[in-house]
Amino acid sequence: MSSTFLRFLLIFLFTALVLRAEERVRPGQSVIRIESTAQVPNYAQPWAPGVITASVGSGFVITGNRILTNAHVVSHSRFLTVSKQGDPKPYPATVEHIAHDCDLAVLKVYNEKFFDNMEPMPIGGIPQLESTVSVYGYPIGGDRISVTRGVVSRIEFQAYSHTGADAHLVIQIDAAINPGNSGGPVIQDGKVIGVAFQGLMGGVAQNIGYIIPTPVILRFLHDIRDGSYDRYMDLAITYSNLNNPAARQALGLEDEDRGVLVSTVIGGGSADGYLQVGDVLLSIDGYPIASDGTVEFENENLLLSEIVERKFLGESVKLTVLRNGERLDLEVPLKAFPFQLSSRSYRDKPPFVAFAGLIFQPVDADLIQTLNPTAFRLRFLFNTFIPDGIYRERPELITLASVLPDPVNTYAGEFQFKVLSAINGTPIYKLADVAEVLRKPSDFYVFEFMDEGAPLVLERSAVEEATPRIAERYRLTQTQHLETPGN
Amino acid sequence: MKQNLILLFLILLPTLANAGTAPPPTIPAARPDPKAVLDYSRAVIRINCTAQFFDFQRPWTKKNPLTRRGLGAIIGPNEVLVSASLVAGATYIEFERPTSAERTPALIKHIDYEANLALLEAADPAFLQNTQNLVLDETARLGSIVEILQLETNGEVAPTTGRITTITMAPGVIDDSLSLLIFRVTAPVQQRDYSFVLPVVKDGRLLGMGVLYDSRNQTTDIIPPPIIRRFLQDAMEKTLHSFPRAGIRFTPLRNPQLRKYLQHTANEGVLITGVDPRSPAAVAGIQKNDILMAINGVAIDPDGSFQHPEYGRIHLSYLITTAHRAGETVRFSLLRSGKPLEVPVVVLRFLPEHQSVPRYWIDRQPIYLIAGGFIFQELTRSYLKEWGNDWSNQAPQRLVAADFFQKSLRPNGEKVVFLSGVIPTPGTIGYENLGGTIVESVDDQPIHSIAQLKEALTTTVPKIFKIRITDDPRLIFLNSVTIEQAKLILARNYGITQLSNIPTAVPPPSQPSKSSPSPIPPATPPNVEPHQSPQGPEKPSDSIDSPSPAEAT
Repeated sequence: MSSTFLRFLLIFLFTALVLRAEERVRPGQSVIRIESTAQVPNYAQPWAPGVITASVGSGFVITGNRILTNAHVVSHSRFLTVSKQGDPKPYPATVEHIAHDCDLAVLKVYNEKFFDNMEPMPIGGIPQLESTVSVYGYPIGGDRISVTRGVVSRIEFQAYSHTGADAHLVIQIDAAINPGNSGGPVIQDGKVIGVAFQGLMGGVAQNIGYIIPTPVILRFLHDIRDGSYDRYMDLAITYSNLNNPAARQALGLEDEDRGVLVSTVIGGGSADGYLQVGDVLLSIDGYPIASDGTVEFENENLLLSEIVERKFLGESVKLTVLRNGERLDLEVPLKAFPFQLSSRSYRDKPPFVAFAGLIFQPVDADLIQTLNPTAFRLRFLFNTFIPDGIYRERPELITLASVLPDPVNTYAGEFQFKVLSAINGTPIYKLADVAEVLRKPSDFYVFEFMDEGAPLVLERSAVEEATPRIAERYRLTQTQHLETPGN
Repeated sequence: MKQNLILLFLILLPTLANAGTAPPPTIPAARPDPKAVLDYSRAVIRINCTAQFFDFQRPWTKKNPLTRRGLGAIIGPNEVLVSASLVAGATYIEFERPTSAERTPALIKHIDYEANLALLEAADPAFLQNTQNLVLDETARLGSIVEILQLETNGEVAPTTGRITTITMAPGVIDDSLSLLIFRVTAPVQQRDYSFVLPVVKDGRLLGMGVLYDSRNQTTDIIPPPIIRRFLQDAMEKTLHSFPRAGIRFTPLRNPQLRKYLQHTANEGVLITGVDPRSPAAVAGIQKNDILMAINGVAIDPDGSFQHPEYGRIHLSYLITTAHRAGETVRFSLLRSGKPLEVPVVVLRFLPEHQSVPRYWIDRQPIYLIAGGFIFQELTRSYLKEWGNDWSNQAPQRLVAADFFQKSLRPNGEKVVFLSGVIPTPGTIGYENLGGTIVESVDDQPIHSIAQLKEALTTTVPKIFKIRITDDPRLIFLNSVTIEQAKLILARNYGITQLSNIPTAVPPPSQPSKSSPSPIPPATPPNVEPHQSPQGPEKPSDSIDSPSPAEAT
């Protein structure tokens, strides 16, 4: 009896597997190998075209004859080719939309024939914890497709390392995600449930891979429908948990576990003019906010930011706030985060102004990461720029990032990485001010920096003599690059 | 200067074997030196020092005791010279005879953390009989051959011969804001016990105390006679009047384009870029952008150095810190808008307690208050140094900024009160991870000292205090009832019974700003003991005002 049952069960399971395999789309067909030749700008020589590098990543076909991949696979790309299983030919491609803040990009292939016999991969939902998923891609540069398997270990709000400043929903799986896997689909039941994008480096953790879940993917695809990407919406506040009994009592909170404290409202952000420091956020779009900042949303316990994350430019969010013991209902129109200096920009040309061998640049995450200045004032201002509202006075921090040595600037080395405060008595608040002031000839150019010290002084005659010499010696092909305001 | 030499002679007087007439300033090497010590083993003594520092993270406790061993130089009857860093934090000091290993307790007679020198004495004066006193050398110059003294394990003197290769001003070991003269000797000093501080001699006389050894370059930094003489003068007078400062900061005038812009044609002088608020220079009217041309008639070069007749090119701070004592007048020759100006400056010693963020806090308990489990402290550089050599990058950046930018952030010397950590109690739920953040106000009243914080957190009726801090969550709340309840929890669960260390007399923070700038310290007459709080506390709190718990009174 029991042996018959067992035999039956075995057969049943086997058939089920076979059936399932037949049902499944053949991901191998729709998983793309992407070769990118990138040119990364050199912040130490912002006028120079940058170093050329090559890399391999993965992607997959989605509707509309498009390829979805990670932004970091195609960042700074100058030449892109895509290739598919069973076709040795590389097809030139181009980036149609790129979203650095959520590390996603959509590619177009010049020759639409590439998509012949290819099925767009259907996009699914959020997988269950502990369920099995498969990761497809071209890890470690190989030309044959590779598949690894893992289970869903955790679903949480996490940092996206591509910009170093963004955080969205992330699914953690225990399949290894290796370089080259990036951009590849993660599949469950024949549907894409995520895009492989980052892993955990370092000695402590093992087998931790992160994938971008479908809410983030779908939001990106929705955002670009109108032909442009508007970035993520952000309340531009910081808030703190309200677990302390004295705090709850002082703020007039009766129930046990609701509300978070608004700690910072960032100027120019969505909540500026709506929220105040000391307000208690009680609910968002009708979802009650727990004292740890989470909301019950789509059967998941998610951070309140997730509500804002799903919205688009032009939409608004409803907040219920307790201010000085009074309940207020606010409707806050949403915008993107007002500052981008703390996230890596992936701009192709760094902004700068060169003058007599002095290279002035705005301080941002790119400059900090590539030039790694140790000057305490500069680092402290950079780190407190947003939380302390430094931006209210100066929209940009301008520093003397480097000096191209020449007789004219013999004594300028000691000013490197100081923060510029004025030129010829005119206060400097942004890079455009530097260009503007230096356009006017002056007998002396007097650069004043924050913190004490003598000014850096250059004589007009010496500057005029040195300018062509420096341009020639250091191959200074351009004397300035100013970014046009806006995104 | 002459007066100082006479004073110096008075100090040395008791140490001279046959003190009759004043000795000539230098003694020709050929003539036998009557004051030279021939047997160094009778002029040095082993020091065993057990030290225990306050734990700045847990200011109610001390860290584990540690032991340091060095060699002291015997310079007078029951007078042994060592470095201050050897005996800083001392709980117990012992003298040990080099050969017989006989030991006796010792006490600190005088200590100066800025000069990094300390004078010790045996509790039993008879212990140092049959020893020889070292007299200070006056002949050493660049290139002189000297001997660094160490002891073999059997007590025999093991000298290492070296040469003075550098004479310069170097930042202090304990207080790096003050640079003092050092002699740097190149010599391959061996690794031996009792080498935390080493006497250095030249031709039978004491050249100085070796305090810093750089093994890669095989150099030893030596505190030289000019510094030791000043220190001994203070020791005799029981004051801290040496090593005064003026409170100016300057920048070199090397750049010819800068000089041209300033219409300063002479290739000498430095540009004054900052005058410390309330400092002697500020009181004397020295201003930013003045050009400093000379000090007491000695010309300053565009790098900020002058030509010393014996030591060569030395940083100008020597002319203030070493050539003068607190209360003396130093003549500054300035150019202001091209016009010469002579400004007399009464220089003063800068005591760390008068700074917003004291430069060092040694042998004193940190000033702190535990309220409801929140640990509030007054910030000191010693606290920041708990993060190790790279403290300026490792310590909470908000606090480092409060130290680095104190002159502009708190020109009147207001203290920085910060939340250093949280001991979990029912009143701190939700705040367990806070720390490294500065307290701005309590119930909108600004906080500039722990004493003020304590007052602000005192109430007769139960209430909830709103504390504003510089970092998220920006607002924290503390119930007066839980402050009381927490006292019991802190005592019973954590064994913490000392919930505060607050000096009894603290000047109200508004006081210095009310009147016009007052110097640091507020007008110290030459014979007031600077370790005493200027307000004259009726009952000085245990260790705040005494330089060392080991000091005999």
